[in-house]
Amino acid sequence: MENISPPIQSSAGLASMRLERLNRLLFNNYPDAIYTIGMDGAFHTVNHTVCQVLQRTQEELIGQSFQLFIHPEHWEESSFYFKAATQGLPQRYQTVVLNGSGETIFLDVTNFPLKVGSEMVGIFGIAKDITVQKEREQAMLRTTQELQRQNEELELFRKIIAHDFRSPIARLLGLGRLLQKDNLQEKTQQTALVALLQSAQQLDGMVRDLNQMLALHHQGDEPREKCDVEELVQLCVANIQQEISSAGATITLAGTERLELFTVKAFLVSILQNLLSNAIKYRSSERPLEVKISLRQLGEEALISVTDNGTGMNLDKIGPSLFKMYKRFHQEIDGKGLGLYLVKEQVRLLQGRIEVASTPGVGTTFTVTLPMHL
Amino acid sequence: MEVYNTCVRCCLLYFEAGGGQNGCVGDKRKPMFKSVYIIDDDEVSAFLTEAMLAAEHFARKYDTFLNPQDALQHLLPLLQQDQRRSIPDVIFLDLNMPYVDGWQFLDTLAPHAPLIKCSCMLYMLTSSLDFNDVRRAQKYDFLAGFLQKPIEEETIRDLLHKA
Repeated sequence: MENISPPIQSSAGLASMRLERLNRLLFNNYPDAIYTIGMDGAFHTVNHTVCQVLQRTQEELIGQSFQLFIHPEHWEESSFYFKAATQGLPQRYQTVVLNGSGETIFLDVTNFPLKVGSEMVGIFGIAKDITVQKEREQAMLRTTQELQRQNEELELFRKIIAHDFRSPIARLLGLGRLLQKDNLQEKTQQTALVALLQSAQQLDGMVRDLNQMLALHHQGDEPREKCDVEELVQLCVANIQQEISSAGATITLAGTERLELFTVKAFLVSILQNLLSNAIKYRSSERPLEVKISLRQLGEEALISVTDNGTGMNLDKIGPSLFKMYKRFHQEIDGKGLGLYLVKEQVRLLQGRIEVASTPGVGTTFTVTLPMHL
Repeated sequence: MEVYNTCVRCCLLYFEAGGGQNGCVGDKRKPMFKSVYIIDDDEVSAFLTEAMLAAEHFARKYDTFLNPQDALQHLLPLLQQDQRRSIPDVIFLDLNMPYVDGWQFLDTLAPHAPLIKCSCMLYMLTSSLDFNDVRRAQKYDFLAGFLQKPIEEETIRDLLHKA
């Protein structure tokens, strides 16, 4: 036994020497970032990859607190994990750092407690750059969300076809069958003929609306341009001048502030025009219609509100249905019911929001908030 | 030819209704039902239903309600006071209506389900093709059936047959 022992010891010494060299080689050339950090949180040693990831030289890093390079949003958790590692517990977590160019880098970090004898002297860690992976994950998430949204839309279209399109079709079928009867009264026949044409026109209008809406959803990359809201309001007023005159409406622009947005012009025009048309459609028969459009900038947002003195609505009753497709709330008014849905969708595509306040018998205010720069 | 058609149609109807050929009284048939409610916010659709029913001599009296709330105002007191003779024999109820839709209408009537079942045939008459609607309708046991718009002669005759 004693004969064999010495060679084993000497070969163990050799192995240990090799391991030390191997360690140094690995430390310097390992493709992931490897570092040691003292109990004070300052870098003690860093390998080449740490310098590459952070875009700093060794001199810039050693002696500096690692916290300086962590993304501010992750300060709290990274100091928590650091503390845990210095208490003797290995840690694995993901974090975000900022490199020399200020870019965000995602890291998968493993930190081990570092002891000399029984004394804790700091941590030893490996960090893997997972930025590409993270970006892929985020792109995947965006795609998933977009798919979900499109699926919801598909379900919406199914409902439109099952409910809304079926309605004028059922009338056309029924009226056709009624008109085939030979013992119809003259008056009934006349009513049926008029209704037949009306139903066909309604169906035509719905097909056109749906076409417009589908086209809207295919326009993801419209050019953004500078839009002077006041000019656009005037454009809308000119577009629907006939409706305005025949309703005897007065439209005023309040707010002297010049409001210039960088956004999709066609959508903004459509939003304004639909809100104006809506005000005209739901005007009160008791007083001449007055519509006030006010424009305001609030920080990085533009506020456009359209206030009318029309019939108003009971929002408690209507609530979430207001912006839905083909919903009508006034029996005496023949609305296609698509206007507000289009407004809501366009506001959404412009990354804005729309709010409504209304009092029955007094009037309604729609307020559209849009980012100044899209 | 026309007379022949009318006659065949009307005899067939009476035959189906169990009255045999004796029930046929020339071109003019006696309406089977006293009174019918048509509840539909769509004026054209309500007109159409009434005209089709009238052409089949379905009832003596048709009450059309463009606003379901008006129909409830008529119907609820009759149900509450159990005035069976004034309760309409048949109700055609549309589904998609503003303010009060067909479902809300049914929910309002639900407490009177037993009386409705024995005094009145309540049909949902809708243009909807949504199968979910049919499934949902099955939960209302006092509903006599789910009918597709436009109402057809065949269906009307079936209803008369059930009377």
